[in-house]
Amino acid sequence: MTDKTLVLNICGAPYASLAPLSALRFAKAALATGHKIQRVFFYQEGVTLANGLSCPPQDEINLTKEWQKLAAEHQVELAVCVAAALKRGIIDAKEAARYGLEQHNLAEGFVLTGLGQLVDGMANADRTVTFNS
Amino acid sequence: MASLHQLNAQHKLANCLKLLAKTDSLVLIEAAVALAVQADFLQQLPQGVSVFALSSDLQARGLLNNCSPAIQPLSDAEWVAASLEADRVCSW
Repeated sequence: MTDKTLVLNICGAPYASLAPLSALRFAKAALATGHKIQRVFFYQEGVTLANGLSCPPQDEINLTKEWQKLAAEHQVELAVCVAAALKRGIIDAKEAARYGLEQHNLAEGFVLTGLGQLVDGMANADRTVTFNS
Repeated sequence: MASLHQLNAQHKLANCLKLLAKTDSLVLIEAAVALAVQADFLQQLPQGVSVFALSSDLQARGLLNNCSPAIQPLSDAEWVAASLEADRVCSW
Protein backbone atom coordinates (compact mmCIF):
# COMPACT_ATOMS: atom_id res chain seq x y z
CA MET A 1 0.00 0.00 0.00
CA THR A 2 1.81 3.09 -1.21
CA ASP A 3 1.19 6.67 -2.14
CA LYS A 4 -1.76 7.44 0.10
CA THR A 5 -2.55 10.95 1.30
CA LEU A 6 -2.92 11.61 5.01
CA VAL A 7 -4.12 14.47 7.17
CA LEU A 8 -3.02 14.59 10.81
CA ASN A 9 -5.09 16.41 13.41
CA ILE A 10 -3.11 17.20 16.57
CA CYS A 11 -5.26 18.17 19.55
CA GLY A 12 -2.83 17.63 22.44
CA ALA A 13 -0.27 20.16 23.66
CA PRO A 14 3.48 19.56 23.50
CA TYR A 15 5.09 18.58 26.83
CA ALA A 16 1.65 18.28 28.54
CA SER A 17 0.72 15.38 26.25
CA LEU A 18 2.45 13.01 23.83
CA ALA A 19 0.20 13.94 20.90
CA PRO A 20 2.71 16.06 18.91
CA LEU A 21 5.49 13.50 19.47
CA SER A 22 3.34 10.48 18.51
CA ALA A 23 2.09 12.36 15.44
CA LEU A 24 5.67 13.23 14.49
CA ARG A 25 6.68 9.55 14.66
CA PHE A 26 3.60 8.61 12.62
CA ALA A 27 4.36 11.29 10.02
CA LYS A 28 8.00 10.24 9.67
CA ALA A 29 6.99 6.60 9.23
CA ALA A 30 4.31 7.53 6.68
CA LEU A 31 6.73 9.64 4.62
CA ALA A 32 9.42 6.93 4.84
CA THR A 33 6.98 4.35 3.44
CA GLY A 34 5.99 6.44 0.41
CA HIS A 35 2.87 8.23 1.63
CA LYS A 36 2.14 11.95 1.54
CA ILE A 37 1.14 14.16 4.46
CA GLN A 38 -1.17 16.71 2.86
CA ARG A 39 -1.71 18.82 5.95
CA VAL A 40 -1.13 18.82 9.69
CA PHE A 41 -3.90 20.63 11.52
CA PHE A 42 -3.21 21.90 15.03
CA TYR A 43 -6.39 22.21 17.05
CA GLN A 44 -7.44 22.76 20.68
CA GLU A 45 -4.35 22.65 22.97
CA GLY A 46 -2.30 21.40 20.02
CA VAL A 47 -1.99 24.99 18.75
CA THR A 48 0.60 25.76 21.46
CA LEU A 49 3.13 23.83 19.37
CA ALA A 50 3.15 26.88 17.07
CA ASN A 51 4.50 29.17 19.80
CA GLY A 52 7.77 30.48 18.38
CA LEU A 53 8.92 31.63 21.81
CA SER A 54 8.99 28.20 23.48
CA CYS A 55 12.53 27.31 24.58
CA PRO A 56 12.79 23.75 25.88
CA PRO A 57 16.13 22.71 27.45
CA GLN A 58 18.80 21.94 24.85
CA ASP A 59 19.00 18.27 25.89
CA GLU A 60 15.26 17.78 25.28
CA ILE A 61 13.47 17.45 21.97
CA ASN A 62 12.26 20.76 20.51
CA LEU A 63 8.97 19.65 18.99
CA THR A 64 8.27 22.96 17.25
CA LYS A 65 11.61 22.78 15.43
CA GLU A 66 11.13 19.08 14.61
CA TRP A 67 7.79 19.85 12.93
CA GLN A 68 9.28 22.86 11.11
CA LYS A 69 12.11 20.68 9.80
CA LEU A 70 9.77 17.91 8.65
CA ALA A 71 7.43 20.41 6.97
CA ALA A 72 10.28 22.12 5.13
CA GLU A 73 11.81 18.85 3.94
CA HIS A 74 8.56 17.31 2.72
CA GLN A 75 6.39 20.33 1.82
CA VAL A 76 3.87 19.62 4.58
CA GLU A 77 1.37 22.36 5.41
CA LEU A 78 1.29 23.27 9.13
CA ALA A 79 -2.20 24.72 9.64
CA VAL A 80 -3.17 26.19 13.01
CA CYS A 81 -6.77 26.80 14.05
CA VAL A 82 -7.00 30.58 14.35
CA ALA A 83 -9.74 30.67 17.01
CA ALA A 84 -7.98 28.09 19.21
CA ALA A 85 -4.66 29.93 18.73
CA LEU A 86 -5.83 33.47 19.47
CA LYS A 87 -7.43 32.55 22.77
CA ARG A 88 -4.20 30.84 23.85
CA GLY A 89 -1.95 33.77 22.90
CA ILE A 90 -0.60 32.31 19.66
CA ILE A 91 -0.77 35.16 17.17
CA ASP A 92 0.73 36.21 13.83
CA ALA A 93 1.62 39.70 12.62
CA LYS A 94 -1.70 40.20 10.80
CA GLU A 95 -3.83 39.27 13.81
CA ALA A 96 -1.57 41.32 16.12
CA ALA A 97 -2.26 44.38 13.96
CA ARG A 98 -5.98 43.63 13.98
CA TYR A 99 -6.08 43.41 17.79
CA GLY A 100 -3.69 46.33 18.37
CA LEU A 101 -0.96 44.17 19.91
CA GLU A 102 2.72 45.03 19.66
CA GLN A 103 4.05 41.46 19.64
CA HIS A 104 3.39 38.30 17.70
CA ASN A 105 4.80 34.82 18.22
CA LEU A 106 3.58 32.39 15.54
CA ALA A 107 6.54 30.18 14.70
CA GLU A 108 7.91 30.26 11.15
CA GLY A 109 6.34 27.72 8.81
CA PHE A 110 2.97 27.67 10.62
CA VAL A 111 -0.14 29.36 9.19
CA LEU A 112 -3.23 30.52 11.09
CA THR A 113 -6.27 29.20 9.31
CA GLY A 114 -9.89 28.21 9.81
CA LEU A 115 -11.47 24.92 10.84
CA GLY A 116 -12.61 24.59 7.24
CA GLN A 117 -9.07 23.53 6.35
CA LEU A 118 -9.47 20.47 8.59
CA VAL A 119 -12.80 19.61 6.96
CA ASP A 120 -11.26 20.13 3.51
CA GLY A 121 -8.41 17.80 4.46
CA MET A 122 -10.77 15.15 5.81
CA ALA A 123 -12.82 15.31 2.60
CA ASN A 124 -9.86 15.02 0.25
CA ALA A 125 -7.28 12.82 2.01
CA ASP A 126 -7.33 9.03 2.06
CA ARG A 127 -7.17 9.02 5.85
CA THR A 128 -7.36 11.49 8.73
CA VAL A 129 -5.70 10.49 11.99
CA THR A 130 -6.31 12.46 15.19
CA PHE A 131 -3.84 12.62 18.08
CA ASN A 132 -5.59 13.53 21.33
CA SER A 133 -4.21 14.66 24.66
CA MET B 1 -16.57 -1.40 7.55
CA ALA B 2 -13.84 -2.05 10.11
CA SER B 3 -12.51 0.72 12.30
CA LEU B 4 -9.11 0.99 13.88
CA HIS B 5 -9.46 2.32 17.42
CA GLN B 6 -6.39 4.19 18.63
CA LEU B 7 -6.29 4.29 22.44
CA ASN B 8 -3.75 6.49 24.25
CA ALA B 9 -4.85 6.24 27.89
CA GLN B 10 -6.16 3.41 30.07
CA HIS B 11 -9.06 5.44 31.49
CA LYS B 12 -10.54 5.83 27.99
CA LEU B 13 -10.99 2.07 27.54
CA ALA B 14 -14.52 1.96 29.00
CA ASN B 15 -15.82 4.41 26.40
CA CYS B 16 -13.89 2.71 23.60
CA LEU B 17 -15.44 -0.67 24.50
CA LYS B 18 -18.92 0.71 23.83
CA LEU B 19 -18.08 1.16 20.15
CA LEU B 20 -15.55 -1.64 19.62
CA ALA B 21 -16.98 -4.19 17.18
CA LYS B 22 -15.60 -7.70 16.76
CA THR B 23 -14.35 -6.88 13.26
CA ASP B 24 -12.44 -3.82 14.50
CA SER B 25 -8.80 -3.42 15.51
CA LEU B 26 -7.44 -1.80 18.65
CA VAL B 27 -4.03 -0.13 18.75
CA LEU B 28 -2.58 0.77 22.15
CA ILE B 29 -0.31 3.81 22.03
CA GLU B 30 1.42 6.06 24.59
CA ALA B 31 0.42 5.28 28.22
CA ALA B 32 -2.33 2.85 27.11
CA VAL B 33 0.34 0.23 26.29
CA ALA B 34 0.27 -0.58 30.03
CA LEU B 35 -2.97 -2.48 29.27
CA ALA B 36 -0.88 -4.99 27.29
CA VAL B 37 0.51 -6.47 30.49
CA GLN B 38 -2.75 -6.55 32.47
CA ALA B 39 -4.19 -10.02 32.91
CA ASP B 40 -7.88 -9.14 32.57
CA PHE B 41 -7.56 -6.68 29.68
CA LEU B 42 -8.11 -9.07 26.77
CA GLN B 43 -11.14 -10.67 28.44
CA GLN B 44 -12.97 -7.32 28.26
CA LEU B 45 -12.76 -7.18 24.45
CA PRO B 46 -15.27 -8.67 22.00
CA GLN B 47 -13.96 -11.92 20.51
CA GLY B 48 -12.29 -11.38 17.15
CA VAL B 49 -10.82 -7.94 17.82
CA SER B 50 -7.19 -7.69 16.65
CA VAL B 51 -5.07 -6.02 19.33
CA PHE B 52 -1.79 -4.22 18.70
CA ALA B 53 0.56 -2.10 20.79
CA LEU B 54 3.26 0.27 19.57
CA SER B 55 6.69 -1.31 20.04
CA SER B 56 8.43 1.98 20.78
CA ASP B 57 5.89 2.91 23.46
CA LEU B 58 6.18 -0.57 25.02
CA GLN B 59 9.96 -0.33 24.94
CA ALA B 60 9.96 3.18 26.48
CA ARG B 61 8.09 1.76 29.46
CA GLY B 62 10.07 -1.47 29.78
CA LEU B 63 7.06 -3.59 28.78
CA LEU B 64 8.13 -5.03 25.44
CA ASN B 65 9.11 -8.42 26.91
CA ASN B 66 6.05 -8.64 29.19
CA CYS B 67 3.44 -8.05 26.51
CA SER B 68 0.74 -10.73 26.18
CA PRO B 69 1.40 -13.06 23.20
CA ALA B 70 -2.12 -12.23 21.97
CA ILE B 71 -1.07 -8.61 21.47
CA GLN B 72 1.04 -7.89 18.41
CA PRO B 73 3.77 -5.24 18.77
CA LEU B 74 3.71 -2.74 15.89
CA SER B 75 6.58 -0.77 14.39
CA ASP B 76 5.77 2.82 13.41
CA ALA B 77 5.62 1.77 9.74
CA GLU B 78 3.17 -1.04 10.60
CA TRP B 79 1.10 1.49 12.58
CA VAL B 80 0.77 3.64 9.45
CA ALA B 81 -0.12 0.61 7.33
CA ALA B 82 -2.78 -0.54 9.81
CA SER B 83 -4.27 2.97 9.87
CA LEU B 84 -4.59 2.91 6.08
CA GLU B 85 -5.92 -0.64 5.87
CA ALA B 86 -8.86 0.11 8.17
CA ASP B 87 -11.88 1.97 6.82
CA ARG B 88 -11.35 4.72 9.39
CA VAL B 89 -9.29 5.56 12.46
CA CYS B 90 -11.14 6.43 15.66
CA SER B 91 -8.79 8.15 18.13
CA TRP B 92 -9.79 8.12 21.79
